[in-house]
Amino acid sequence: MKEDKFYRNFLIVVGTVIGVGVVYQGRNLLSPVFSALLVAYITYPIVLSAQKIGIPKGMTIIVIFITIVGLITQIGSTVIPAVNREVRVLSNPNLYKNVAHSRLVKIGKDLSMQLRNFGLIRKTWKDEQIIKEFSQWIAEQSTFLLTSIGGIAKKTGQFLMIFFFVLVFALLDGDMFYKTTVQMLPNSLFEPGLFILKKTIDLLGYYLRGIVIENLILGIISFILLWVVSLISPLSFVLALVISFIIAVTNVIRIIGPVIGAIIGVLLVLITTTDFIAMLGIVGVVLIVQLLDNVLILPLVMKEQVKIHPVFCVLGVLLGGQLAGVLGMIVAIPVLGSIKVIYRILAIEIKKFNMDPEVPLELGFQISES
Amino acid sequence: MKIIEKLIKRASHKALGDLADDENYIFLRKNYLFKEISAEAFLFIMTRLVERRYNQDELIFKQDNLGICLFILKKGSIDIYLRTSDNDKLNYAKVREGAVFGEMSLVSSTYRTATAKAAENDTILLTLSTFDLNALSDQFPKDGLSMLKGITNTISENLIKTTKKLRNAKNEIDELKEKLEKYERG
Repeated sequence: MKEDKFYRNFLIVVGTVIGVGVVYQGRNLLSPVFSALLVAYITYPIVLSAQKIGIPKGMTIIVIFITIVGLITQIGSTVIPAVNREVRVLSNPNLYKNVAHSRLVKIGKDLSMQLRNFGLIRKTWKDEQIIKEFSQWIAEQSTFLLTSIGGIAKKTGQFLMIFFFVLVFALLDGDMFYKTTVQMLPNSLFEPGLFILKKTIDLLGYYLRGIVIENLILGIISFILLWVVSLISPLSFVLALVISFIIAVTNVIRIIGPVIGAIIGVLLVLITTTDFIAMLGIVGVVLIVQLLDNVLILPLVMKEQVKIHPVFCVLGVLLGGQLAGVLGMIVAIPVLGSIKVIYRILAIEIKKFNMDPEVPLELGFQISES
Repeated sequence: MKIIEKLIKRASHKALGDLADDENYIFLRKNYLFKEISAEAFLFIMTRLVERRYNQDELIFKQDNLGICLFILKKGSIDIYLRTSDNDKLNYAKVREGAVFGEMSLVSSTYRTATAKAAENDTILLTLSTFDLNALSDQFPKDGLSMLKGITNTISENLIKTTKKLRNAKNEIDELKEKLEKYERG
């Protein structure tokens, strides 16, 4: 009996080590697979609803596929030529001297004027000098980008290929995927296995709902604060609304999301008003909102939805980032929640679960909702 | 809204028409639990239903363990028995093809009150979990209620049978006691 227990524990340890090793080796695959499953989880109800009213699954999937590809193409076709134009202008001194040639040069000139007014840069610095320094830096970065473009294109291609492959099959065979997983459960562990699976899927749903609630609250607070900023600066009402929406959306990515949100917000102000107070206001709003989010909103919402301690949330997010980048950060909390459910069942409740017909049970185990 | 309802009904009937040759569909349509279920709800159940195979003497569930599923016996037979506090085995019932068992767990998340074991090789069961019933009740409240009524009827019938058995057993014990007393008196 003792030997059996030893071998069982030994197998569990070896299995865990191999599992962690396989996940670590295949960590490059985690991001596209996770993103595809996440998108599939969010869009699957659309496929089901369409199917309910008689629209074939394949047709809905094609529409979702075209929408995602269209969005990626639209972003690419807008961003790439604009970046290309700016790089071309900045690498040519004859062109960047004329503000009309480059939006970036105009923004740079407006900004340097603002900074000079506030005494944040020396009055002796000339705009041309700043632009020259900046364009040199851009030129260096573009050289680096050009040399590594092959690698970036390859990685993006691989990501998109795996992403769409998993997405299409997850949407097409969503029910079958679930059924196959349930059918794979061994007979002896059928009911607790089903219980773990269902709780894990529910947890992902609670997490997504938590994210929506958290970011909705965050967006509303951001908007109220930005509206206050708009009273003392040229920041318009519409821009305040747009920026608060961006802050709420980018906050989905933990830790680095708010930084991205702040940068986009500041860039939008740069493009429209180049007002220094408005820019400072945005940075201040992002900081206040982040403080509120981490101290109050996130712990309250996630504790209610996923039931994980905020400290474990932060540690899990950092670990997720190490393992699978930005996507690891996004899926860290639901993965943590699943581990908690599985641990609870394996370590506490499965001990009471006994399928040996000769051994009578002293204790049954209760379905825990937590 | 009415147009969507009509579209859903038409799509469900069409989808069920496609399933007409499916053996699980034919088998379930005969079962009393699903007789009054609408086409939309039946289609929903078909997507959730899981088929499982068991060998002879393989345990399906055990007394006092977690129970979250209802089982419908498609092929083979099942032995259901109880363990008494003295660990004596007490045969309770033999489940035949088409019968529903383990239904109590679907209504309330409790421990299993008996043990179920496959009595034959290649015993095939169809399972539906308490989560599926919850989802069915959320999406199709009328059908959820109708199924719940069917399950409650089964539980009531089983309870009546058990009460009768218990009464008979009590009578038998009383008779035996009387006989024993007479025998002791001489």
